[in-house]
Amino acid sequence: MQRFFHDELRQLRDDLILMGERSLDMTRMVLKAVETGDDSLALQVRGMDDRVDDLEKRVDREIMRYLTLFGPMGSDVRLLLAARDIGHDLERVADEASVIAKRSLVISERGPLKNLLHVPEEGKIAVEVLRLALDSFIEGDLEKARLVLKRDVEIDSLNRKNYESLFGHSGDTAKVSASHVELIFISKALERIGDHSKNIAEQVIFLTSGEDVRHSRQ
Amino acid sequence: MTRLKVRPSTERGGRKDYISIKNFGFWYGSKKALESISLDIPERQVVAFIGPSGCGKSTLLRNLNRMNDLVDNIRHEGDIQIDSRSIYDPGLEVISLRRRVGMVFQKSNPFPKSIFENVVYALRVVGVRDRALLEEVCETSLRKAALWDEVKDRLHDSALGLSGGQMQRLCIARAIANRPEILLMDEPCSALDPIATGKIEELIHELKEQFTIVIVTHSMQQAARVSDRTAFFYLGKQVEYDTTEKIFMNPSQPQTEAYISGRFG
Repeated sequence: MQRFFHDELRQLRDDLILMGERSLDMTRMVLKAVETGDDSLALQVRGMDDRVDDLEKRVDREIMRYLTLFGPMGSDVRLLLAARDIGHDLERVADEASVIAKRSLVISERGPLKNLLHVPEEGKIAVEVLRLALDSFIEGDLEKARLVLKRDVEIDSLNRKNYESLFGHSGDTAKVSASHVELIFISKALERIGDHSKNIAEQVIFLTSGEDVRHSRQ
Repeated sequence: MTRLKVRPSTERGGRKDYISIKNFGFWYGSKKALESISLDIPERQVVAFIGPSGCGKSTLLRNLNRMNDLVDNIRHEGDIQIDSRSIYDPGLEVISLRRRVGMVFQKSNPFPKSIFENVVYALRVVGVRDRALLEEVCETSLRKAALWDEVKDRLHDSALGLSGGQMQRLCIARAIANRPEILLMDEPCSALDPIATGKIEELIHELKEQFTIVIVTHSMQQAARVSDRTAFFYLGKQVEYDTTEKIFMNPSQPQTEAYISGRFG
């Protein structure tokens, strides 16, 4: 029997999807800002962060309301627990996009950077993996969720390559420009976006199958 | 004697405080059952009264349509107003009040008659003979009570052959047939299984589009699920009255917190 309060779970899912789409938009936009040096785009991304923060608070409130008032059981409990974590990860994605925007503005202030290392490629994969994680949640697709876990490794690898191409294996910073240091921060933020996508995928696996794959070797 | 003008609930305008309980006290003989209760109930909302046994919640509910008048040696102080008019106004017919304020009890109490006759009973009492009108009211009321589909092919069977959940919905249909503006429900699900309880709760959620509903329940989960506002009573006193979300998520009074979290007593 479908109960009237089940509509609130649908609303919660919709809010999470909205958060996801906004975080993904921010990531896409900020990558374009890094690649083109478009400061207005970077500033726009920084302005979008508050909206995602507000959505996270709304999602948290909806979860608390549902837990308190409607006595959820079974898969509804899994959805509420997963939603809390997914909401947090999406808010962190938006934060990372905002950090990238800030670094992009600093780089831009110092003049255009010709060598962006592997950041564009890393960013492209980070966006693809985040999209995949969101789709796995929207569609309840286990295969997509498991693919996210595999592809996150590609982002980690490019982040490491960025570091090594600048500092070598010795970590020597003497000849590295300040702008490239900013770029390394950007690479690290993209790597974190990959981690958050992975966390979301793990929650989708928990939600769909009940299996807890966190902290397990992939 | 004047009669209260009965208006269809749907004709009422914006949501306003519809029932106003003002500094209300109540005695059974020398025993004070309610003390200084003051709360306003907005129209077309569900308000739940919760509290341990003997806290006065049913007593207050039964005062809203003066059902307690049937008890010997009672008295009250303060006032209860419905749509800005005192229910103790000497010019008011109690029968008329009870027509406006329908009641559903803990134990379903269908008459030993057919399903059809149960629903149209009140109309028969006031002399309605028009068969088409009776049939229309019967169908409309059963539909509103979410029972029509289950009984439409056996309207003339005895109501006593229905299940417990169906009997309770029949009693709700019977109350609705009288075109009340307010529905009082005194633990309407306490004798029902979880599926029948779910159906009654769904019904309450739908009925609030048209009726102001006051429900007494021992189930805090039920109060949380179905009501917009909740009042918590203890030893005849109103401890806290607020939105249901506030009462169950972050109540102002430590006594309320203790009661809803099971730490009371």
